[in-house]
Amino acid sequence: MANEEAFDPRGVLAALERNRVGHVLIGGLARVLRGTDEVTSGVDVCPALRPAENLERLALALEELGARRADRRRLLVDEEALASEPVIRLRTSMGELQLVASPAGTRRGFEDLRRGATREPIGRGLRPQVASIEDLARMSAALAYELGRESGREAERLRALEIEHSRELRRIMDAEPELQHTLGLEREIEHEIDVDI
Amino acid sequence: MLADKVRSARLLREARLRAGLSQQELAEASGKDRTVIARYEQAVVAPSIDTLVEMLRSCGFDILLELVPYEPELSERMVELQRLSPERRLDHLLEQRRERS
Repeated sequence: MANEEAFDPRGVLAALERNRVGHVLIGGLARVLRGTDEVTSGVDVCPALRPAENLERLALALEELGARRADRRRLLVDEEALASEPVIRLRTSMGELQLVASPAGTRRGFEDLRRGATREPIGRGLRPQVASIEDLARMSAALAYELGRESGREAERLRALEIEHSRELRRIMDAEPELQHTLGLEREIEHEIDVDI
Repeated sequence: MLADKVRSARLLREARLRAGLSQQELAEASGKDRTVIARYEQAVVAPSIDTLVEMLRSCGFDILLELVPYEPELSERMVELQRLSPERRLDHLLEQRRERS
């Protein structure tokens, strides 16, 4: 469950940036930055497990954020700990943060995602690496596939959500060339109007 | 809307590259001719669904195939969101959260 009182994604990402933590932003926030219509309340990142110094920097950033595990267990930030748990849920002073070393549908997590990721400006001078639309769609589809193997209403609900996310991202991908063309024309027209004025 | 052969070309190429295979290596793994794979990837022709699944599996992947309602277009709201910069999209998210709380 997200921390409803605090949600400052720029603050979380700024701490990662300040400490030069290699990571790719994934999950709901990444989808929103790519243009999906959803309300999310946490920051999900896929950290680079190597070099080992990256995990030391991640540990420093987490300390800055006052991060604690949501399950109250001791927080260990090393390759073994990150690789052994699919998702590590943390509560921080700026909201929920999830560490996902090997997101569903990826191989070697960060190394896989970094190829398609791009740096996107989100304000305050921050430009996090955001997973590509294709990779986000792939992760949602893979997660839906995995959830399909589980039983229970919650798994079914989450599966339906992931399928919807995947479909929405695919629609954006499909519409993108035409959309970019239209938006480009609109910007040109706006520019011409500005020049005339 | 993307033509089916463009969609399958993209999927196949992505799977092959992610598996770290050359077209020749995929040809050997799947039993297909390399030139056929090249034509699929260039969206010259589209493979059948069975062939596509078979080739994706040769790359170590599977594909989720199931029926969902068809929604061909982005909603107006989605188009509006596409008009925004990532920074504005984030601001929009934070505004929505504030409105809900």
